[in-house]
Amino acid sequence: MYLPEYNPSDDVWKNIESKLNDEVLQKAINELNIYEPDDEIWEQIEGKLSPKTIKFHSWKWASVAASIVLIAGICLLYKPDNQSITFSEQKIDENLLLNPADDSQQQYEMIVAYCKQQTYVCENTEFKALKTELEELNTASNQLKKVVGQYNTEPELITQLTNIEVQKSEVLRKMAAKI
Amino acid sequence: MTEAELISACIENNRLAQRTLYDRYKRAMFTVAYRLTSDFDEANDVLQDAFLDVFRKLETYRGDATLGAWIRAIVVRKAYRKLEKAKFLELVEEIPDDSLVDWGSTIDAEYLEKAIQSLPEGFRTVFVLVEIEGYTHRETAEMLGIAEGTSKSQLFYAKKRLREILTN
Repeated sequence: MYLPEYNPSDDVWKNIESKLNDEVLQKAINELNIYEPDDEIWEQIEGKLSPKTIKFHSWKWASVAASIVLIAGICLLYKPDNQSITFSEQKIDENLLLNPADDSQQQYEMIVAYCKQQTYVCENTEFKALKTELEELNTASNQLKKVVGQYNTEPELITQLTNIEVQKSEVLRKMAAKI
Repeated sequence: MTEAELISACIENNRLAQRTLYDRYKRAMFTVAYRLTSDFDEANDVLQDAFLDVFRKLETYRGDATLGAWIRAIVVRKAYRKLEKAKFLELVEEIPDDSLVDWGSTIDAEYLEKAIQSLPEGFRTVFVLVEIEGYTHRETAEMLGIAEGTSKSQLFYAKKRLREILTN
């Protein structure tokens, strides 16, 4: 016993015949030109598209929020109430303070008064040189005292000032010896 | 860049990706637009409108068809809107039983191009969609909003007219 056979629709052959018949047409269609649009078309499309935007994903918003929390935390941690002030106290060594009374100045003024009465000694070249040296030492001493100021904190400057005073005493002693 | 990556970038309004997509399909789509409108200026307008739609509606693309087919359908609809629908109603004749067209042994592509452009809009639209772009009559009828039988008859008379033009 054989299973029955079936006939296809007449349209099947019609379609096959049509396709075969149109093969010449399809061959020519495959050879048709392909055209290129004007370059300005893209510029016009771009001009009408919405401006560039950067989409912010949720994880980006989360990172921004986390950053704000972190910064706020740091600010709270280091707020002004928690700031500490450190200070130190320095004591002045009285031995280093300058002596306001200047003995050499008094001695110098006595010599000047004497020279007004006994001019011949004071006109001596050697005496004049000592007087000039003493005046230069006085100027240097005054400048150094200004630099040292009221509260002496530089031992080197005091040493220099002491040396000047020693030189002044030596010059005064030489001047007194001439008189 | 894969097509999926390109689509995602276009949806995010990445201009470089959009340009890449446009460059990838512009020639094929412009050619369809030109064949349907038979006018380069009209084809440029169609292409512009179509790609604007493509970029604005790309989020709705679900991948049921290839991206090229999806874009082409948009181009066809845009082009069709520029055509005069009334001309499809001119021909309601039945297709004769002997509907085969004798094309001869060969057809020159350049002559064929000119012959297609000289067809009435209704004939040309169906011929381009079915014979050149490969749409079925059902798809063509759906896109153009006409009956499937109308699509078939339009194609038959388009071929017949083409043969006459090419012979002469």
